[in-house]
Amino acid sequence: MIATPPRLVERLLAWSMRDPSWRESVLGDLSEEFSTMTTQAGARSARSWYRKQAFGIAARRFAARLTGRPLVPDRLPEPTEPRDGLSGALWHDLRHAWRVVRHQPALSLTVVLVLAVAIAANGTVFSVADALVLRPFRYPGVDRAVVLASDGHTRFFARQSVTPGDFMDWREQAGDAFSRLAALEWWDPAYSHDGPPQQLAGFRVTASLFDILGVRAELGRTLLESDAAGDAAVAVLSHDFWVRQFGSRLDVLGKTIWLDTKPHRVVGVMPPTFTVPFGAEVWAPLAFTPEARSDRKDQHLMVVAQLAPGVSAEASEQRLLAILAQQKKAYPETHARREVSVRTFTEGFGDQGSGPFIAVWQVASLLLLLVACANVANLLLARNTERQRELAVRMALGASARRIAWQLLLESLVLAAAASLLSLPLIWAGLRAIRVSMPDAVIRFVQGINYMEVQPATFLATTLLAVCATVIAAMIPALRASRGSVVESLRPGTRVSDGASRQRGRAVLATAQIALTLALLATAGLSLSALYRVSSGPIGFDTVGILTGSISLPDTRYAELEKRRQFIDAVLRPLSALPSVVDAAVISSLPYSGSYSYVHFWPEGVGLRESTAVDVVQQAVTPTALTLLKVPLLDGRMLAAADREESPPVALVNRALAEKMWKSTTVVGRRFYLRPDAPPVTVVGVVGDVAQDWIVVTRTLNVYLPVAQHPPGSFAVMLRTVPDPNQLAANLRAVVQSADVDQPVLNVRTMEKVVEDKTVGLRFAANTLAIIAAVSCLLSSVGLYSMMSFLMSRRTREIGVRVALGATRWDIVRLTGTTAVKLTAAGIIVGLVLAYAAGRLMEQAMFGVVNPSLTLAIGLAVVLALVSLAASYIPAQRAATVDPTTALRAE
Amino acid sequence: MALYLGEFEYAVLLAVLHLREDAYAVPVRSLIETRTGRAIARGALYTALERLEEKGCVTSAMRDATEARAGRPRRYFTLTTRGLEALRATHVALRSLSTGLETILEQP
Repeated sequence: MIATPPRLVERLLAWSMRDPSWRESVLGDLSEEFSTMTTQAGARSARSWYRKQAFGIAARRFAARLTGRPLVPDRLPEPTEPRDGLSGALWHDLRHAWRVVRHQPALSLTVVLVLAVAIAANGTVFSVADALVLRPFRYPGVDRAVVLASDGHTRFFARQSVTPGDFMDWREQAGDAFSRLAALEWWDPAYSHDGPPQQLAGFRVTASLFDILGVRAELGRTLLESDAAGDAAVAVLSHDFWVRQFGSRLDVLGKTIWLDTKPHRVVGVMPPTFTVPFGAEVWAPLAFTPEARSDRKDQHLMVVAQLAPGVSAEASEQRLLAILAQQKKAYPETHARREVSVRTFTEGFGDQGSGPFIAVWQVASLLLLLVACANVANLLLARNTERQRELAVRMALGASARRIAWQLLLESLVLAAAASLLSLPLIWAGLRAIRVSMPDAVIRFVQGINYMEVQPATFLATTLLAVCATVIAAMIPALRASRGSVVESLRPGTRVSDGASRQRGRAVLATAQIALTLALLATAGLSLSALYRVSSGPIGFDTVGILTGSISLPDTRYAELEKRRQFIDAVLRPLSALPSVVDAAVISSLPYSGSYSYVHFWPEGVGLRESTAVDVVQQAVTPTALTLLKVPLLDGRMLAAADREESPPVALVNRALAEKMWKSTTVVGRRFYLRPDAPPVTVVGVVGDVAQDWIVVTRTLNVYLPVAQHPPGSFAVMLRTVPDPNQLAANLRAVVQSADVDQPVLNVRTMEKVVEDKTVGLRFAANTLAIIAAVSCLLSSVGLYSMMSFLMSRRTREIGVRVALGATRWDIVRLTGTTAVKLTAAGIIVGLVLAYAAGRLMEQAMFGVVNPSLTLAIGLAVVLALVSLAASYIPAQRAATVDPTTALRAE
Repeated sequence: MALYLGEFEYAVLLAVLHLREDAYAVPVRSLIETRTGRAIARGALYTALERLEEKGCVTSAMRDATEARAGRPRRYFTLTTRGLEALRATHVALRSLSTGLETILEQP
């Protein structure tokens, strides 16, 4: 059969030429040269040649058509031979590198896959870190924005800690440090429309917030200073709320919506990326009444400020400290223990919990990359040994050692380029998987989730990593190869030598892989065990068969305590009467709900000063609430219906509080104060400790007060049910509706879900770490396997001699197995040290939830040892079955 | 006023002149390559020939459709008077500049 030029290319070329006579002659010329080529160099190279020529001609034609003038060169091109200059040499070297890479497809593919997986793991984690921790807020003004708080530099930053009085002081006195200040206040209004009312995530803010962050409305306008003074209430909506509730209709501006049963005129819609703070859906102006302006007690505001030009965050903090010093003199009773701190906006409003998790991921994925590098280095080292003779020939022909090293480096750069290209779709898939696995309830509150995609920064970081990884992986083999002895390698009959230092290099790499893998496995094991403890460990209460729902009564209508009592009664009474409800109760804040309030606590007999107060968690409960949660009563009695508003104030304390305050658990009858100006409260019972949140390591100090004496404005309703709790959701909503038509119920979910939602981050982190560790385990066993098979193939002749001299199969396995055992043992010893260090790091990063355990480390070491020995047994076994005659003939 | 040629066109016209009745693109290209040691792109050669024809330096005729060419004819080029004038003008201009420097220029 006569070879024909590639059809498609021919057609493309024909299409590029308009003049039919030229088209015919050019195609004819190429066909003529093509047939000459075919006879001289074969059909394959002829086709490739044809393609190249046709593309060249077509490209020139298209370019001429685009520019409107024919591209005739003025001068003849530079001479082709000899090719010289940097670019020519580089091009030549690159082509050579590509040929080498293609020549060994299996090895190249392995290297590319290993590197790509490791780079993808790093790229994914980096993208997540960049979106959620490093740059979750991408507003023009965010770099100059800071968060001011009446809280020291503690681990859990209390951003919501400023009194209106202090805010006013700062605004008036710190004008030199801050150009603008804004205050934010939780609002959470009930939104009424057709159907049951909804609870919105809302904030009252001063208009300057939008100016500080430099964000404009997507539609209409943001808030103005004058809105706070005006009589007509206005509101700005979030993009999501606008889409969800108004179907993106433009005529929403000027509409009236009902928030907390009051009309608000919509003046603007924010862009989709703006949900500051914490997934806000609606913003309304914050106005201060004259009384509020001098309030120095109620620490409920969040304050954001814009640094004045040339002022650093540290300098501004000094300014606030100076103001605080004056305040301490002026208001000793409220400011005695008050502190101040200034943090960046990102630090202040970012998710404080995710940072350490992502740091642990990042460390884990870097370890994975190191394992991959060691693996790749090992593979390349083995390959270079194979190629030693080729390299020696090149050196004998005059190539310098530097040039050989450069050539080898270039080969691995080609591999790295392929790996980083391949890693991009992997990163994309990883990020999608992360997003999909996050529950919807959580996503809205995750700042920066919208930025979690493959971005230029990711690509850059990935490429950089790929290059670094390659340099690490390729440098050792490249340097070694270029140092080889030419004469030795060329001597006929010499075994392609495997010098002691080279063997040592490979052994070190294999050991490093095992050690790093053990460290990774330990990290993953720690977080999985922590997860197990958090989600299934003792949390002090029962989560099964309980339905919960949150209710937040608006101050406007429920300022009077009596009204709150009536509402709670109106809800609980019909719910308790339902046949499938065993018990119904109210608690001011659910454990694991993430919101609980601290109050001052003074045991009787201590001076009632700010400095002697102990902060404890206060929860108001109806009499059966703790029984419903199956919290054990240790002493005394539970609260009872008889503990009413007019009866003497009573409370339950938890065991931790009793032991801390009175060094005893039999404290019934003891008294304490929650406010200096209120009568003392008597302890009537002691109950077991309840974990309020997995993040809180130490046992929290708890006081339970009767709802009748302290009716809360926001609380959770709990139902213990006979059937599946979810079946009662509709009943719960209906009862609340009938108690107050305008009152929404939020977060109707089971108690199990409450705990699960809170631990989802940890669960996620632990699972990811487990995946990273598993990949690393796989990589290092593949590495060990390939290294062992390589070593065995090197020793074929030696083994043949031994077999010929009468060595048994078991002798051979033992002989070769010793190496594997030594490597594994060394790797595990180093790995245990690394695992210990990783454990300490995790302990700090994860708030002490993890505790490094020796049994875990030893267990993992045993597993890893088995895997690694299994990986090396197969090659050893294969070596033992060698036929001596074949082996002795082997070169 | 005769046309003054660039180096590339000058080389192409000289090759056409050398090849006489065999002057079609394939031998033109290989002649330039063997004589000068410069590999010229086929695309550039076709564009140059097309331009030279437009300028009236060469004419072309289609003939010799062979099987190796998939039945497509060759395009043979012939130098025109105008083309010859242009070659001469360029050659003379260069020669007048180099006259007296032969001892230096002809050194290998």
